[in-house]
Amino acid sequence: MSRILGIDLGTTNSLIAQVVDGVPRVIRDPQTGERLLPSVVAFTDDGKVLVGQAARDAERNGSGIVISSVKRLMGIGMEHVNEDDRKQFPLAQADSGPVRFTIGNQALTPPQISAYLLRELRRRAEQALGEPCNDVVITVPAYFNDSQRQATRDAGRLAGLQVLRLVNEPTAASLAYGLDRRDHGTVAVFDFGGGTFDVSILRLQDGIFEVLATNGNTRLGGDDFDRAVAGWLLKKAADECGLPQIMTDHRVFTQARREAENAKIRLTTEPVTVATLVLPGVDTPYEALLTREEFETIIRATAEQTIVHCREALKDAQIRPEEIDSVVLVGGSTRIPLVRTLVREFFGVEPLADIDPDEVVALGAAVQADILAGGTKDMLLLDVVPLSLGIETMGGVMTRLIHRNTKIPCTVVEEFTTPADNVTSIDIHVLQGEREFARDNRSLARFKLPVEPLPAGMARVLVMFLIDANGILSVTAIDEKTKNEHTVEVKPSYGLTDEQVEEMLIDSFDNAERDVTERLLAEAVVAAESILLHTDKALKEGADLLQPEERDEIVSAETALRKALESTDRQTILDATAALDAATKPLADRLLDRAVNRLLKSRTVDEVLASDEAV
Amino acid sequence: MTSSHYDTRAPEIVHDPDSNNYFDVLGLPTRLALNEKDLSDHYYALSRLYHPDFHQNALPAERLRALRRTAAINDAFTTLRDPVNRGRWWLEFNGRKLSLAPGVPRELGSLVFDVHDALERFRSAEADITEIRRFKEIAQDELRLRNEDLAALFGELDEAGAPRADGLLFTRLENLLAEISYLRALTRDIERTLENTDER
Repeated sequence: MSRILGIDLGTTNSLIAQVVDGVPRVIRDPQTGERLLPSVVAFTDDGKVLVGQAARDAERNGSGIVISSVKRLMGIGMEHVNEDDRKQFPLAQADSGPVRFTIGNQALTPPQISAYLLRELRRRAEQALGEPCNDVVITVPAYFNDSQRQATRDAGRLAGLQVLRLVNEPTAASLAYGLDRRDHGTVAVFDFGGGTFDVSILRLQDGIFEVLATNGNTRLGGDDFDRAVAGWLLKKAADECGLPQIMTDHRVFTQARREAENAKIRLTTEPVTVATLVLPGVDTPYEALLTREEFETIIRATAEQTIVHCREALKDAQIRPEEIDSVVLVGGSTRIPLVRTLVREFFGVEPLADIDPDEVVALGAAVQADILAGGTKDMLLLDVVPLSLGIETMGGVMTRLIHRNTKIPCTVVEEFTTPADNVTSIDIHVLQGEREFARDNRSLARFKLPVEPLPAGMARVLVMFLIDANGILSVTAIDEKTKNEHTVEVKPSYGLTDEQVEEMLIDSFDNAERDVTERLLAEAVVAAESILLHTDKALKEGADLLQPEERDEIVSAETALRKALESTDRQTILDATAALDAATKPLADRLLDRAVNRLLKSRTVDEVLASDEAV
Repeated sequence: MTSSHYDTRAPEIVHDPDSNNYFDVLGLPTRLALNEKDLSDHYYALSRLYHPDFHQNALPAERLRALRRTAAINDAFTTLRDPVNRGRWWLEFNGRKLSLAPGVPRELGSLVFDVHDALERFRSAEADITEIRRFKEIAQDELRLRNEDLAALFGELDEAGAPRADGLLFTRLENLLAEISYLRALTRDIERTLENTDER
């Protein structure tokens, strides 16, 4: 299996890492030696796109359009964008529908912006390693809902990456810690980053990392501290200089945010600091003294919200705070002394922070990548879905099908029937959240199930809801008589359809690097070649598991796919790939069962070996 | 990196991943009075065999089967781990139709009434917090007693073998499960009220 890399796509900074000789390491930019990539993208007035530090410099110079903290807007709708974000981001004018930015005459989505960051990380890795890097694991906040996860996966695809797994950030962090500790026990991971907060409660045993419960808030982070301090600074300056108009001045606000962030960082080590503002029409810069004590008063209410989430997570895990053996700190905001104090007081243990909190998630992503690549065999992550999933039923109520903190992957099969005579379809609205009424939860998607026109209640359709190991939902309809399954096309409420992602690939303006239709074709070819390779391998391994006619069917599907590959028609290749997938199903089933049975029976052999070693 | 710290070998488990009996799925004897350690040992061992992470480099159909098998194992484990869910599943598995919205169990009628009355009065500042705390203790005691009863009843059911769906033991089980569920919800309500008070 080829190389798989781990990516932390953060609100403030992003990183890429890999496992070398069993040890995860962050890959540095070969040009600058930097490990962190600031999650900032700038569009200059002369039509260039800058990423990372260069984009941050552009922000300082106040040139072009700069987008930072784009993660806050991944997979949400315009109606969920708050006032502060409307000020901060160059948003297209709209009250509902997916979020779009106006960049010159283009409308770009958050996944497209994130794709710039991913491409830059990929460039770093490819230059550093001297080979193409296509396969990645990307981390997401544990509390990300389905749309936010899909948006992250779309960003990967837009960057030309194959996203083999989305892994939750706190769980990734626990993998990085578990590497040298080999702990047994109950662990809380407290992940407080630039824009999101997660807490996960895990049980560690024999290399298994079992998540018991997770909780959090995808709109709570260090950014909120900066805003609070900036607000304090602006108000103080406005009052003391008699300049109320600066409260609404965008440029002063940007300056105040930057000063606030710097003051926050200095107050981690110093008891007192000075924040400076250059005010329009005032000769001498305005200076404000901020003590750590005052800073803590400003941020306390926000910081204490994290503890409310910790309490909820423990309750769901059915664990008391004193049962937690260790607490792991992740994310830049855990450097704040007040945050550490709150954590220490709540859990009653000294939190661990021996791995750099900015790097630990990327390192964990690299470990998960190595597990998928088959390198690390003794570790396994068992994660949960963070939010309940359900459908809208009569009276606008949400009926839960999958409860929060259910282990993933998971499936639920639900039977639907028609409420009236002779209707020809059933409309299903899928929701995620914990509230009673549909309208208070996040809308994920809608789909229609075609049914035979029959008297009310007579037409029946079975629907399987499956949440995979990425925490992403897929929907399958099952014919009750034939047991045939077919995928249901869902219309995402805020995300992108496959067609839209393809259009974006075609529209993407730096497509000079590779023609995009070619890239789509290349994707199909890679998938086809991969299944051919695995089929050949499977035919050899499972030669004894097939009837001659089953074998013939597979071989002829292979021949058809090889023939399709001679053409350059993407659809022909996709169809032939699907046909081979179907033909290999019986073989695949038997191979898995046999592999498992062999492992099950191998114990006695292992025991013999173990006793030999002992002698 | 060595793996000598871990026991990654599966215990010898004979299991039927396609069975609709959750005990069979996890390769455990069909006994309601199950040992929690056995349950999680089997769960971890089977997860190590089937989890999609370990079947990444295989045919797509094989990956899909691994995914669904893992989902089935997760479902079986989660259901059996909680005694109430285990009992409910067992009743349905044996053909008992459970009521979707059972009312207040008769045995608990007066306690439920008293608790709700006290919570109501507490909200309008007519009841003392010590009264709420006392009810929390009462509800927890009732819950503890019934959990013990349930453990004993599981033993009786295992002894009796598979009785008919309308058997007396099943009726007892159904009532006991309804009472435990109700007491759990009641305890949660009380705890929530107390928590909100602590925060204030």
